[in-house]
Order: sequence, then structure tokens, then C-alpha cells
Amino acid sequence: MFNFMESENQQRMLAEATEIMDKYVYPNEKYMLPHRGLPYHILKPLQEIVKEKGLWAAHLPREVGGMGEGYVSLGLLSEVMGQSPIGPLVFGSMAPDAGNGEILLHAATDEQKEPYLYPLASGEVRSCFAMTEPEVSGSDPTTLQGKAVKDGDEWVINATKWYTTGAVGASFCIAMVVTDPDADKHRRTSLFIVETDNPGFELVREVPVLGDHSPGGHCEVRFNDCRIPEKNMLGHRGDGFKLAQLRLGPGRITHAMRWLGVARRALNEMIAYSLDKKVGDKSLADSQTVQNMIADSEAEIQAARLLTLQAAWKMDQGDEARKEVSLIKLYGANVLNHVLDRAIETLGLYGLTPSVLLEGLYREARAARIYDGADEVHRMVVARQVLKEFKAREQWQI
Amino acid sequence: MEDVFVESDLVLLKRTVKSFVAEQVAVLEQSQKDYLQKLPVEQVELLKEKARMAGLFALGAKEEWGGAGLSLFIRSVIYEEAAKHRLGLYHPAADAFGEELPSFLEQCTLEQIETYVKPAIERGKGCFMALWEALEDNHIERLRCEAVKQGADWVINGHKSYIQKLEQSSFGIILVNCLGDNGAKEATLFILAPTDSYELKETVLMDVQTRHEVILKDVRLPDDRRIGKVGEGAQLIKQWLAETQVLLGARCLGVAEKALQYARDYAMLRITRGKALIEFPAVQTMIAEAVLNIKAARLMVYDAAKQIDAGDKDGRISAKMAKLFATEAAAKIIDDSLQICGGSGYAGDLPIERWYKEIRLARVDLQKKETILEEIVKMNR
Ligand SMILES: Cc1cc2nc3c(=O)[nH]c(=O)nc-3n(C[C@H](O)[C@H](O)[C@H](O)COP(=O)(O)OP(=O)(O)OC[C@H]3O[C@@H](n4cnc5c(N)ncnc54)[C@H](O)[C@@H]3O)c2cc1C
Repeated sequence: MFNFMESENQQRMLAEATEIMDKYVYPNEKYMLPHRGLPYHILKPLQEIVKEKGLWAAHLPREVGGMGEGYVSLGLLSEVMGQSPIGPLVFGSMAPDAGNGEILLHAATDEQKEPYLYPLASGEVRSCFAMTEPEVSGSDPTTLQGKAVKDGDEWVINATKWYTTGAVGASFCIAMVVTDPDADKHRRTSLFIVETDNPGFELVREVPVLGDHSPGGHCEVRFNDCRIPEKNMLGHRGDGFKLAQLRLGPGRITHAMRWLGVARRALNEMIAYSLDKKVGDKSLADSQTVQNMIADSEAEIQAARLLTLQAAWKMDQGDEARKEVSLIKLYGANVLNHVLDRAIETLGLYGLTPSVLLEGLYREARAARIYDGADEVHRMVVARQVLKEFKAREQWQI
Repeated sequence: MEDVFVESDLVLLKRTVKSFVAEQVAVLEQSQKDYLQKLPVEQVELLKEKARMAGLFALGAKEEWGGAGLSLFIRSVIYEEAAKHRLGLYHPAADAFGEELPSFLEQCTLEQIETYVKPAIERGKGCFMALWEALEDNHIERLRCEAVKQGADWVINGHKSYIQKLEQSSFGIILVNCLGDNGAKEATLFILAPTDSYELKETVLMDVQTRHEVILKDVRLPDDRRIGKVGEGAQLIKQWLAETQVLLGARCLGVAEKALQYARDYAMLRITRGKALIEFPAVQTMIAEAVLNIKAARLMVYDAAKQIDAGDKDGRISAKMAKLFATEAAAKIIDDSLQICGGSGYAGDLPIERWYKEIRLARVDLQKKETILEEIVKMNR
């Protein structure tokens, strides 16, 4: 049973999303600010339009104001909105809010959903996620050192985190800290919701980084004897690792499809330029060298796209799709970077000027090979899984 | 014999440059509080004084013009070392040694040398090159800016783009096509003085490097601004291009070494899954390939430099190959180093983040890969 057609519903959704992109998103890119996204007064009316069309927050179910159409639809829509760096912001599925929304949906109590999930889901507030610490390897969260200690009916957090994306302007933070240092390595940490106006929450600095498309920057934050009530623990004690993982699966579908949107945008930019540019009486697009770059980019984009949609489909069937998700994270992030590199190569120095979007996309894209698991880690996961499957098959044959 | 002498001198010279960079430049960079984009002009001027006292000044300029008259090869060795700091890829030793000048300036008249060249050298300034145009930054033959003779003057019209280091220059040089009576276009070089009536526009490439556009609308230049004969411009500019490609290659070596050093240091200290990163074959491979490619790139850069010094006819194509190989190698090494350092590599606390932007620029600048490959084929078919 193979069917590569979008459903009627999906076709309508994509057509509407494309119209919003053309009418409202691309024309507003010029107002984009480094590390701040769009100014509030420009962003809000655009988000309203998306909500009216019922395309808001594709990652969330309907009962919290999302679309609830499943992973394949989420992926398809992410691809469309991904074509602009402000797309996800306008459509309400920007990292880290999207991932935080998913955790809250899954783990928050009703009492927690009211003040945190609902306003987050509607885009009223922003949030951030503080797991990574400068002192230990983010690739191995079992090594986290920041800790929370129980004191009466409060927890006292002391930790230094960095790369807390979106901390500037966030109203709350989900922090992952050690509550049970002696437990099994996957049961040492727990998650807490910390309001950013808590006197123990300190925004130390915005770390200067290569890309500048994330609103609210990538920040270093410190928890100084930060006291929070017991009721702000998210999920159960010791669930930190498990919940953080849970956040990543669907997030990788969104990321990978969004990257394909970016790659498609870059490829279009490259094609338009090469058709336009004359070399003697021919256009640059007549050059086989440029054609090769176009063909390779198209091949990679198509391959990554089918891989990703297949992973999304598996997830819609209730499968965790662990291998597939790692594959698309690894392959997709590399395709993104390759295509952008070729686009810049084609445009030359002109492609590095602020009059084309490419240089900003290129800087932003490099992070994709690091966050949510570096290339090397996903390669390891994929290889282990493939080896395991092979061994199982061989045994079965014997 | 001569080689032996040069080698021991060179070792000393390298050591001097190394300590200058470590003690003066890197220290100054580290003392800046905010994310460093450029050093304050006053501090660069002070550094220039110090460099002058250390005998590290106007390295390539002829001795009779007040320069050190060092060969391209020796300068390659020096600039590799001088690039080993945050701003080093495009501002080796924070520009303290003064700007490099093209060797074709020997074609200048005595008056041009007294008026433009010597004062520039004296102040450690360079001359900017108004060469590329907005949509042509690879093929010299396809440039369009034109000059028409009117009486004793040339009237110039055109746009020149992506001009580097205009702020560090005290005059400029422009390549234009002089229109002959029979309609022939003859590429020719002219000196642009700061007082000329061209318009300037600034742009920033890859969020990291300021470049300028020079717009000329009926700009009149007297014939005595011409460098070399009418029609000699393309040859002279190609000579400059070769020298500049070699020196860019040399600086890439320095930055690549430095990036590798950050990656290695990080990999030795960072523990993940119970062992240091350096224990993982994925990381080891990146480090080993870096060492390998730096070595290969260095041989190519030195080889091209020596050929150009010897006036060898293969010098120019060797310079292109060295530029291509060294920028590609450095790009891979910087990319891998960024990867090894993870979030730290992506952040501007380390200089890898800056180099990542600059090396992408360097790859398309001064002729990109596809153009150089075309030229290599031309020589080999
Ligand atoms: C743009 C951006 C946004 C981010 N946003 C957030 C956020 O909102 N919240 C948050 O908590 N964190 C965030 N992060 C942090 C991110 O999760 C970490 O950077 C990432 O997990 C890597 O951790 P690290 O930087 O400590 O690198 P390390 O763990 O030190 O790893 C460095 C490098 O070592 C190599 N390596 C690691 N493990 C292996 C292995 N097993 N085998 C071979 N090689 C290996 C890889 O090349 C890796 O890149 C963000 C990062 C970026 C770049």
C-alpha cells in the first residue's frame, strides 16, 4: 500500500498555507530583526490570520487550539512555513515553544496546564528550555550537574545553563536538573517549570552565535538558590531524561521538514539567479557545472523529503520510528547545509550580501548539525540499530 | 647554500612573528570586553609602531620605497604565523605590519611613487583594488567598467563592487576597459585618489566583512594616473591576483592550524559517554584529516610562492591551485572544528564562529572553485 498523494484536506491546508506565505509572510521578512524575530505589532496580526484559517500550532491537538492532524500533515505544513525564517513564528510552531508545548501536553497536571500550556499554545507567552550546561557534554545529558534540592515543600535549584534558546522575553522556563544524584543514570534528573521573574532566575547574557534567526537569542542563564514550589515539578521525580527525549521525536519531524523548506528556498534562489545571469549569450543555467549542482540538490531534497515523510507516517501509525528519526535528523541537516553551500557557490560574492537571504540562512543552518543531537551521535544510533536489525535477521535465517 | 641561510633566518623570523602575535595581538584581542568585531583604530596604530620597531613592517614593499623587500615565499611563512588569532584571516597581526601592496606598482612613474606609493608605505596603508563588479567576481575578461579618452583625460563610467580594505588604503587602483578608436576594449589600470569624485557605498558580506562599492559617473582622471600601458591592465592585475591568492592561502594555513588547536584542546577535555571526545574515531578522523590537509596545503602554497618569486611561467596557475586547495582545506577544518566543539564552536566565545563566516567568503573570493577548475583544464588539454 503505497500512496504518495496528499489527502484533500492536506491539499487544502497546503494551498492556504502557501497563500498566507505569499501574501503575508515573505513581504514581512524585511522587518525581521536579528535574534528578535518580528516586532510584536507586525507579528500579532499575522498570527491572527493563521488562526482564523485554522493553521495554527500544527504540532498540538485541537483541544488546546492546535490542528491535531498528525505527523504527516505537521511535516507537510512545516515544509511550507520553513521557506521563510519567520514562517514558524507566524504559524505558531517555533522552537523551543513547540517542544515545550508537547512536553506540557504530555506531562503537565491540569493545574499546570492552565497557567502554562494554554497561554503558550495560543502564542500569548513564550518559553524556553534549559538543559544544556557549558561545563558538561550536552550530547550526554546523563552528565548534567545543575541540581535541585528539596527544602520543605519547595525545591531549591542551583545551576548554570547555556544555549537556553529564547530566554529573552520568555515568561517561563522548563529546567532539567539533577534531583537524584545516586539514582540510575537515566533517572537522576527531573523537570521543573520556573517562572522567569523568579528572583533566583538570572539571565546572564545572550551568547553571541553564528545564526540570528531565533527570537530571544541563545542565552546563558543561572539559577541562584532559585526556590520553586513542589507543584512546579513537571512529570514525576526522575522523569527528566525520559521527558526530554519525548520532546525530541516530533520535534525532529518539524525540524527536518522545515529544513527542507529552507533548502527549497535556497535552491529556488540559485535557479532564479542562474537563469537570470548571462554569460556571453547564454545563461548561467546552461552551464553543466551549475546544472550538476541543481540536480544534486534536487536529489538530496527529494530523498530527505521522502525519508522524513515516511518517518512521520510511521509515527502516525504509533511507531516510535527511532532509526528513521535519527536518519532524518542526520541526513536532513546535512542536505540543508549542502544545498545552501551550493547556492552561495553559484551566486558568488553577491550571495553573501544582505540583499539576498542566503547568508543568514547559511549561518543559521550550521546549528542544525549540532542541536537535538550532533551528526556523530545520530550516526551512532542509526548504525547500532542497523546492526541490531541485521543480526536479528541473520539469526532468524539460521 | 642560500637556501640554508634563508631557512635559519626564517626560523628566527617566524619566532619573532609568533611572539608578536601572542604577546601583542592576541592579548589585545582578549582584553576587549564585548564580542570582538574589530580593534579600535588607535590601538592598531600603536601596534603598527611596535611592529615597526620589531622590524616587521611593509614586508613586501621594495627596499628603495622604504619596505623590507621580502619575497612572496618568506611573506607566506610570515603570514601563516601572523594569521593565528581571531581577526587573523583578513587582518593578520591585526594589520600591524602594514598593508600588502601589489608588485606591479614597480610600473608606476617616479611621480606616482612619490605621490601615492611611498606615503602609503610610510603610514602602513595599502591601496584598494577596484576590480570586480556586482555580478562579475571571477572573470577579468568579462568586466564592464569603461573609460573614454577626452583630451588629456580619461572619463570613466561604471560600478566596482566588493572592494576590500578600503578603509586601510590611502589610494585605490581601478581596472577599466579603455575604448580605442576602433571600438577595441583595452583593460588598463588607473590610480584613484581620495579626492576623486567617485561615490562610495558600504556593504557587509556574510555578516562579518565590510566591503565597498565604488560608483563612477563621468569621473575624469588625467592620463598621468595610468599605471603601465593602455591594454596592460589585465596582465598586471593577474600578477596581483596570483600574489594575493598565495597570501590568502598562507593565512588559511594559520587559521586552520589554530582552529585545529581549539578542537584538539576541546576534544581532550570534554568527556561524553565516559570518555574524552578524542577517544572517538569520528573525532580522531577529523583531526587526522586536518593535519594531513594542512600539510598538503602548505606544500602547495610554498610551491606557488617560490614559483612566482622565480618568475616561473607556471606561477599563476599554481597560485590558483594553492588558493583553491588551501581555502577548501581550511573550510573543512574549520567546519570540523566547529563540529567537534559543538555548541562552543557555534558560539562567538571561540573564534571558530568568525572563521566559519570568513572562510565561506574566502572560498568564493579571488576566484571560486569552478573558475579555477576551468583554468586548470585550459592549461591541460
Ligand atoms: C542553535 C542552538 C540552539 C540550542 N538550543 C538549546 C535549548 O534551547 N536548550 C538546551 O538545553 N540546549 C540547546 N542547545 C544545546 C545543544 O543541545 C547542545 O549544543 C548539543 O546537545 C551538543 O552539546 P555540547 O554543545 O555540549 O557539545 P558536546 O556534547 O561537547 O559535543 C561536541 C561534539 O562532540 C562530538 N560528539 C559528541 N558525542 C559523540 C559521540 N558519541 N561520538 C562521536 N562524536 C561525538 C560531536 O561532533 C559534537 O558536536 C542548542 C544548541 C544550538 C547550537
